[in-house]
Amino acid sequence: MRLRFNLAFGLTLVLVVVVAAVSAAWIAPYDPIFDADLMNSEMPPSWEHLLGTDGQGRDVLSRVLYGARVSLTVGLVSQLINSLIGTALGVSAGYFGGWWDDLVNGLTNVMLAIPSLVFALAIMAVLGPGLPSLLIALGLTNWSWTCRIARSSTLSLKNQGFVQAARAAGFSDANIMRTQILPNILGPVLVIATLGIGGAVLAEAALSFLGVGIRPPQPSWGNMLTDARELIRTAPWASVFPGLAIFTTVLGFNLLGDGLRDMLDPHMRTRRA
Amino acid sequence: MSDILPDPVLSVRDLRIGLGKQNEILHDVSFDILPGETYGLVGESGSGKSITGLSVMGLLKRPLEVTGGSVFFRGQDVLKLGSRARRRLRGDRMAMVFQEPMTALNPLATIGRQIAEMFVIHRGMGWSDARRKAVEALESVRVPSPEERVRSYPHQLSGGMRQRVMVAIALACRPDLLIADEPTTALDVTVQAGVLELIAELCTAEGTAVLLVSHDLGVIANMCRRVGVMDRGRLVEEQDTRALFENPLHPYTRGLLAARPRLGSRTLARRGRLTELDQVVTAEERGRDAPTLTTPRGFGLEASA
Amino acid sequence: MSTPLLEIRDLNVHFPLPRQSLLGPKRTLRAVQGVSLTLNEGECLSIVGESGCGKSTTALTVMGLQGPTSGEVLFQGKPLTGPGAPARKDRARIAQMVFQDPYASLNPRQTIGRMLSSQLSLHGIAKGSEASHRVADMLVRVGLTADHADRYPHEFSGGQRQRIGIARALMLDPKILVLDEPVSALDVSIQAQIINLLMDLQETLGLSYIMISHDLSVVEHVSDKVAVMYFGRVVEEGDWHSIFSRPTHPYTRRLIGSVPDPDVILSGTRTLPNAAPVPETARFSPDISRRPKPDEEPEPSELVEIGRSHRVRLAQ
Repeated sequence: MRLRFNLAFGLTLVLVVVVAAVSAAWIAPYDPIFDADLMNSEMPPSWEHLLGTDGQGRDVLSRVLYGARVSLTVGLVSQLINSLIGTALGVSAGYFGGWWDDLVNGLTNVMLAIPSLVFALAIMAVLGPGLPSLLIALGLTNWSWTCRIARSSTLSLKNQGFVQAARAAGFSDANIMRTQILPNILGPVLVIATLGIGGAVLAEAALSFLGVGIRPPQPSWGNMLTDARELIRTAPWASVFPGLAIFTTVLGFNLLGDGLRDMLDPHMRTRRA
Repeated sequence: MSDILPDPVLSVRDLRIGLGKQNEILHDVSFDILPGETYGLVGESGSGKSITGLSVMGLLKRPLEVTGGSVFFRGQDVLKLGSRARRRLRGDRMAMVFQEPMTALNPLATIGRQIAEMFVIHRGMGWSDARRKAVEALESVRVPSPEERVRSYPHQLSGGMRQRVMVAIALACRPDLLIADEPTTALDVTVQAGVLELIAELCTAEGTAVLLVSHDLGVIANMCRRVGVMDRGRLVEEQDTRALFENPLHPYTRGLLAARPRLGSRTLARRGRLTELDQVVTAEERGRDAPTLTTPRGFGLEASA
Repeated sequence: MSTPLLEIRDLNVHFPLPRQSLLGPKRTLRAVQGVSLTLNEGECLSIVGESGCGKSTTALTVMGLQGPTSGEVLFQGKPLTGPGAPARKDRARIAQMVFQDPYASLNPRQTIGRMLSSQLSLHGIAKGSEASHRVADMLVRVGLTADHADRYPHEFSGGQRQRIGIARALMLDPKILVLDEPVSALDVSIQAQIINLLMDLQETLGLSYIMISHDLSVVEHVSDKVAVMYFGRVVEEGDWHSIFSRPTHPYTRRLIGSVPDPDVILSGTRTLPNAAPVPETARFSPDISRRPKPDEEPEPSELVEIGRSHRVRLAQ
């Protein structure tokens, strides 16, 4: 029961955010950057501006909707990069073992020891702010969990009969990793990825908040929070709504990840059957 | 042979187990185990032999549940007892040995502690007395240098030694009934012989009744006085061991006996095919709702002796 | 004498063990020690022994799934191991393996048809409808039906899965099948079916088997030759009849004596056949009254002929 609720609720939240991001251009009442009306700054929510306006008189709703595009792009793309790196390293390390495994293991441990946000901050400092460098910074710093899961799953799979049989039948190592191992570790990797998307959305917000992420006036939930920092007493809606958006998205992806994990867990599956 | 038999230690009556009433997987199983008797339940995987043992212990896991029948242990229907009362019986009056000695032992506690625990919980002993009893218990299952071994952790022992420890834990409180579910299946054949011998010897000495669940006809023949054959959730046949092997009543039992290659049965002439089960017993004969075929205890003993 | 189909010559496989202390000596586990075996065409050679005796490691070496520390494996006189060994694809046509656990040995995410036909396309044997024909033929040959090709492993019972495992091993038409405990995970009633299938296939396809097993009644039933392994060494070998009618090494005798056989138990005559005579001064090796340590240097010993094609390990 709880299991389906997690999955359904998470999926609903995620869908809401995705729809908002995709249709931002049609449903946003104002332009997020150019419709700045300084005369109407710091207006509380009203029928004209459903979520109020920010310090420069821009419509908060429109900016939150457009900000969803940035957040989702960052979340999905950077986590895709993480998943690809983590899976490739983890599977190859588990499958081949030896010095390569030691190297990957060492690297993973180093990555886990450095706070990924600090690492991403350093990369941003080198590459400069902007969406592409944000994708690279977050995509290179959060693959260690995926790598660990992929490696340990591969280790337990590689001595199973079907992998041995594929080797005995003459299949190449690359082919075996692709057709025998990968399909069997996709479940846990997907779960980690879903949870990671939430993390990346948070990281984007944090980096933009620190001023090294998305450059204003381009809206992102993080830099909206930065801008609204000084208005927290006079115009709390300018920070509350982007904050809520982050909260909803992260919660949505986390619930979805939990739900997926439960669904893919064979024990849970037999219990439901 | 006298007609007066002692009261059974365990009397299972029309036991039914299922995932709810609609989906029953064990149908009306009845059998008795007399004091000091070793009773075998033999069958294939999924025949219901293991869940029968588990339900007697009260260890059936959800969604499986007892849907009917009764389990009389020393005259008392344990299915009617509360969970506290049943827990008190477990480990004290009835005990169990599982197939996999590695997973059945706590990896983080010394084996001495795990044996001593039985005395503390069920006998109310202090830990120091219990520890002394643990050494004695290890000695009784012939673990070499028991004084040192009580300080070992499960992973430091071989599979055979671990199973001996399991036997020591199970028999610590001298139970009236020991349920052994495939106790030697995970062990090598030379180790298996020793563990079986140990169980037989200790239970004979204490008069402990044994319910031995196994798929191995050889183990059953070696250990049991009486055997029940299970197939598809039914007890299809029950006889004294010798009678069962010499004169199986149910076609399924005949099939099971015929399907085994027997040591020393191959002739120099030619490598023959083995008899397959479905050549002996048809699908209709299996899974049929029919009463258990049985002969009384002691029947046919004179003839073969 | 013609060259045997497969020859294992003085095979040693060692694994490094963790040091007992930081500066302690390097330790090695001698999993296989100086094993030499031959397999002739059409024969079934069984390797018996208990867990950890090295029988599975020996089999994996034949399959090329484990590299030897020293020694070699020859197929029709040509090396299967070492620098002259054939590529993985080529050796796939020589030997294939049937695994013990029918549940772990099939990829849960591949249909049976795909699993079988991918071998054919990899080796350029057949594609498309020709491949599905061959797959269907093979499924029928192992006692399944052609429409089973579209199903996934979890839709099958243990016995059916083992048939699929056998079909997979036969797809490339190999000469040798390594059977690793092929029936020990199966129910008694299904064991007979699988053993019969394996014996039938051996006859119709002219296969040679290396069977790894601890079940002596099965071994006696199907083998031509038997090798008994104990702690990495072959302690007794010979044709099946010599081994079972004159078990000589104390370990072989203990092994056969431990089989819980209903007939023997119920007849109450648990007597082993007499051992073959050995020279009076000879001592069996290794001494089975004490457990050898894994990293210990073995005592010098050799396999001595004690009957026609029957050898036993004696200390020198």
